[in-house]
Amino acid sequence: MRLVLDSNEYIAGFGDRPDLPPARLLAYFVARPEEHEIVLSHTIVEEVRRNLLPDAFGDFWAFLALFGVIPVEEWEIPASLLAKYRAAGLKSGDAAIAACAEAMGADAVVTENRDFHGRTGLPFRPLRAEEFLKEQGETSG
Amino acid sequence: MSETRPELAADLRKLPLQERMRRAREILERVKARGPDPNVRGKTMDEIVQMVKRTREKMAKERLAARP
Repeated sequence: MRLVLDSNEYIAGFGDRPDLPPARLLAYFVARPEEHEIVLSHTIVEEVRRNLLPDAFGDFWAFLALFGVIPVEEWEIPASLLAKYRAAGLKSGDAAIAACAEAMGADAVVTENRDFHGRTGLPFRPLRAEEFLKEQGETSG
Repeated sequence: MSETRPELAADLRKLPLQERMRRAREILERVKARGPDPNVRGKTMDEIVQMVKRTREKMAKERLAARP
């Protein structure tokens, strides 16, 4: 499965909140690295950089490098996709994430951002970390 | 944090998967040993989401302002 992990997942995970689902999500990818492909945009990288201290950001960056993840450049995302998601009612920042997911052919966006959930007609599935892990057969705790 | 440099990141991708995941586990252990980042300490997941949304919209405005 090709996945976009939203910034909130990385920030909670690399900010060391073991009580929250994103920490388990990161551990899951390490345990089963061949089952999914992670894609992300420079927007996500910048959001993580702005919300974590440098040491935690460095760990996030090194972690993604180990998975062979190369951030998608903004120019690689068609402006028409951004306009499409803005017209669909997403805020500009969220529209950029949705456009990246569609441009990269993502199957799902793992996010705790409620603005993605409950929407219909998206070409990818918005999933919370807990939902994703449950689908993969990972039990909580 | 030399492993964050792009050329070394490319070298990391050439390592066998098992070795890469060993290093990824080390990173997660280091994160755990460091303890909660001050930006997320004590926050609920929803508060973290709101924090990121504020950053996201600020960045969107910056991108708009930077357009010629």
